[in-house]
Amino acid sequence: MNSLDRRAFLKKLALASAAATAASLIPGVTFADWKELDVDSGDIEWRKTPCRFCGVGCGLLVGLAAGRAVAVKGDPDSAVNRGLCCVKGYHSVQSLYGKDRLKKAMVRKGGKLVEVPIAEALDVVAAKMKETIAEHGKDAVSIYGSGQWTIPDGYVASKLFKGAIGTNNVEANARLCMASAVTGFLSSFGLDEPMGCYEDIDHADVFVLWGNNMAEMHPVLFSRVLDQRLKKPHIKIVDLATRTTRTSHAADHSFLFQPQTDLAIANAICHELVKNNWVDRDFVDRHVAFKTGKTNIGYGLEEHFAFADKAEGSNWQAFVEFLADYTPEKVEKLSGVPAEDIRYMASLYGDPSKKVVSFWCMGMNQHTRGTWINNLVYNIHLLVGKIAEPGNSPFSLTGQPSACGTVREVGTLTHKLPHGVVMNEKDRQLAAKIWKVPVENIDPKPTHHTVSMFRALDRGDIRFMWVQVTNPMVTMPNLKRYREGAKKDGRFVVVSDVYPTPTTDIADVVLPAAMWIEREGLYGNSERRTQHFDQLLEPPGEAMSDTWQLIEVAKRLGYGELFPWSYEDHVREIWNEYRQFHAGAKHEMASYEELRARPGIMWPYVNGKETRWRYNTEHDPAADKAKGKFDFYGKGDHRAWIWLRPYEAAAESPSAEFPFWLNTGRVLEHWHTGSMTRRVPTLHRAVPKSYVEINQSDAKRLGIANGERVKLVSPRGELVLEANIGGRGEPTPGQVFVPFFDEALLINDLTLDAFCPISKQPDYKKCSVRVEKA
Amino acid sequence: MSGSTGKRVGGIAVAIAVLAGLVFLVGESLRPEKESPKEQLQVLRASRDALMQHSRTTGLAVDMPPASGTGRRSLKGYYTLRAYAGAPPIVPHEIDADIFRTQSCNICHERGGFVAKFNAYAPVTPHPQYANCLQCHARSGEGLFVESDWQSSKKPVLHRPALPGNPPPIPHTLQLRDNCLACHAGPAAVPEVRTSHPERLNCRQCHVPRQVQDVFVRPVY
Repeated sequence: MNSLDRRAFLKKLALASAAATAASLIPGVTFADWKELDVDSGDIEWRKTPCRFCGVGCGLLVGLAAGRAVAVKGDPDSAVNRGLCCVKGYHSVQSLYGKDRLKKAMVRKGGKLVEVPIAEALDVVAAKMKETIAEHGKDAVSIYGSGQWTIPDGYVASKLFKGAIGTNNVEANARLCMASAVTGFLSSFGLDEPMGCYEDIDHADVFVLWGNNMAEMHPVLFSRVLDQRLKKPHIKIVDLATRTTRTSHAADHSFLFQPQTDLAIANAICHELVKNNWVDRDFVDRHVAFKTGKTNIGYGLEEHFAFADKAEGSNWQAFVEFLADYTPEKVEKLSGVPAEDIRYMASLYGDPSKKVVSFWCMGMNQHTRGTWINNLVYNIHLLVGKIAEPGNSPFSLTGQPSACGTVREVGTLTHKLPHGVVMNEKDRQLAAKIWKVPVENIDPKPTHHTVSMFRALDRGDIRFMWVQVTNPMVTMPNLKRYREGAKKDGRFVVVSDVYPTPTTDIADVVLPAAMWIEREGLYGNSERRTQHFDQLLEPPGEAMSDTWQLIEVAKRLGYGELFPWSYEDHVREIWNEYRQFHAGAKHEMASYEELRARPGIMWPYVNGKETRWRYNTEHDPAADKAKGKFDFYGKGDHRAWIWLRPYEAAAESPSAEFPFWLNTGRVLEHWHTGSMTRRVPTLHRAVPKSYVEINQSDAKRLGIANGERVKLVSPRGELVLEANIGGRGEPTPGQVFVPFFDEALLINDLTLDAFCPISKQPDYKKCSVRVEKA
Repeated sequence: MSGSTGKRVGGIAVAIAVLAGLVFLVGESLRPEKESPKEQLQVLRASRDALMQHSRTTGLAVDMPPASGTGRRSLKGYYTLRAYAGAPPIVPHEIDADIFRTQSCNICHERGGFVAKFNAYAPVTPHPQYANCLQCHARSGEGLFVESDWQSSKKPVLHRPALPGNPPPIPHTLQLRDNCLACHAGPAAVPEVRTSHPERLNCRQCHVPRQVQDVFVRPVY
């Protein structure tokens, strides 16, 4: 073959084989690239926004062209992600373009949802609210939002319901997500939200992950952890979990424990810190107080369950005696974690030369003793004084983009106000003054937390519920009861959403919502960082932002003068009004103009400076230098509180009839109930449906093969799923795990609505099931 | 000279000889259409040096496509794995178990090389330091939950110099893609974007990213 022929031949062959290569790697799968707009790739305009999904709050640059979002890159100027995203972030804009976007309002007529002009639907909503209040009183109407509410959404909802209508029936999905983190912070420190920030990752020597599959759930932060370990090989990552996950495989050590026994493990670590004299006595003497609370506190399963904790003074001696029950040997028997491994973890926390970050999220928060386990991990950090300084940080992560910014800071929970709580007269006065409403409007008594609110809807105490930006007909535990309750005659459910969901299916009115960058808004992430985004796109059809839907209904209810803003400037006006609640060094927020210009600013933001480490007198302008290096000013005694919290069993444990633990959670590719991520082709194709992970030894014993259909039965319901054995996650023997994102496979029909009596957050990680071949 | 040093030198000599052989083959298969014999010689020498340098500085495998051209990628295939220009590609092949597998991904994708199982050259990642690969690169699958109305821009136009013969600008962001040779050199490089002169190494001496569309306008004082 001469050289020319050979070249031609090679060229032809290369073309033929190359075209086939991509498709041939997986037989039967065909790939197609995107439909092209008549826009050159170089003509894309890049605009900043926080990501729509999790609480990490990555900065994105969204590529805009021809009135559409066409691409994403990580914002290199964002202090959160420094230019890197996860697969959800990179494909986030595709979630705007599912073909079944809700573009028109719908009202149920003769049992069917019928499209109507949005103005007519808003009339129906307002009329129904008036009618319900007239017939059943103000506490018969309610609103249920989420940590996906932007700050303006939550602020307007709170002002309308608490300030104008006068009911505390304001709750959010965040109750199911991080209420225990809040009560943990409040009981240990007196103020919500972390003392540290993501920058702690850059300074730490040890990372202890408490039931936290960061590699999937907070992947961008996990990348920062792995990046540090690559640069500083002495860094250790310890995974403490009930399930072997991608995080376990990446960690230096993975310690598996029996569900619920994290309480005992934390106390055993404290036991070892005391026994080995690793306690920083000077720090403890100066900055810590000891407290006990109530024990045997129940599980919230009774219909009108009520509980209030009571702090009693305690002391070092009592604490040491309390810990005597938690020797590593005793805890090994309970938890399954070898005493040696407990001692090892204690030695990491105890070594004065090591800086330690503890991370956690749903594993500790969705827990019938969620407040307690939050307290106990703070206890460890407080004993060794490893807190509130670079690299020493107990860090509670969040799952929703504005769980902190909206639900916690604006306070869209029944007992909360944008500053303080409804029970406090001064807080009510401040709210009334800023809202320009009579102080008598604000009811001093909290009404229902989330589970209680859905129970009240079932019973008929609540007659009207407006659901925005969340999907409770997938997420409520013991779901069957609440689905049937919501569908009862005489209940009226309004749902604002962007796609049809099981929740819109049961709605009486569906309002199409403008999604994310189709409207202007602000989110607040897990590290106290507030992030603004402009409206970058036109919402489809008659879709309207949740904020503006609320304002439109407020006007129809006769409260228009409380919301006097034009569409063009309402977000700025709301921000300026809301900011007044947080004035002062403890929570000062940045100005609208600064937030608009920058990819996120952390509060307290005083004199143009972010506060990276609260309570640290070197960094925090609210901390009093006279108190020494730290000032835990959240409590009246300027001390952080160590709580003597015992191990107590789970609400429901495996039995002869239901011998397995059921654990539920997320996967990397899907966010929350999948209503957005399943419309993203790449994400749906990666994980098209839910499944049940079974430990290999259990599968072998039961004769279940990978992919085989199995039936899970709990005392509340049953579900058939495909078995996933030896996949990305593997629960400990005697436990199964099911992702909850799949609306066709509703695992929450099986879960239990037991909750932490202090935080009222349900435990989605522990109930009992039977596993059968289907 | 000690015995071991002698062996090492011998080993290096053999390696160079093998490499030179490979380089010759590569030079043949990659040679532009119209070149004088002198130019051909220059390209060959440059390629050999470049590959040596390439191998030393990046650790990329220097094995070359067999003469048949089997297992080469195409630009079309490249885009079928992406949701838009610049999106992280999906994983178009089976992976044994869906676990955290930095090390296992990097076995093939850090340095590249021929993978008989897939009859393909493994594309080289421009960012092997990011360890949680499946964070961004999802597994592929079939079907849709609902139809999508997704659209994006046209694919970047390649080889568009400002003047004939000028170096073309970089039509993509350098974020996570600042190791030019990972994608633009070596056997797994898509032929349409494979550089003819990997030996020059300092790519951005001549090729610069296009940051904005507008032209310079003098400020008015």
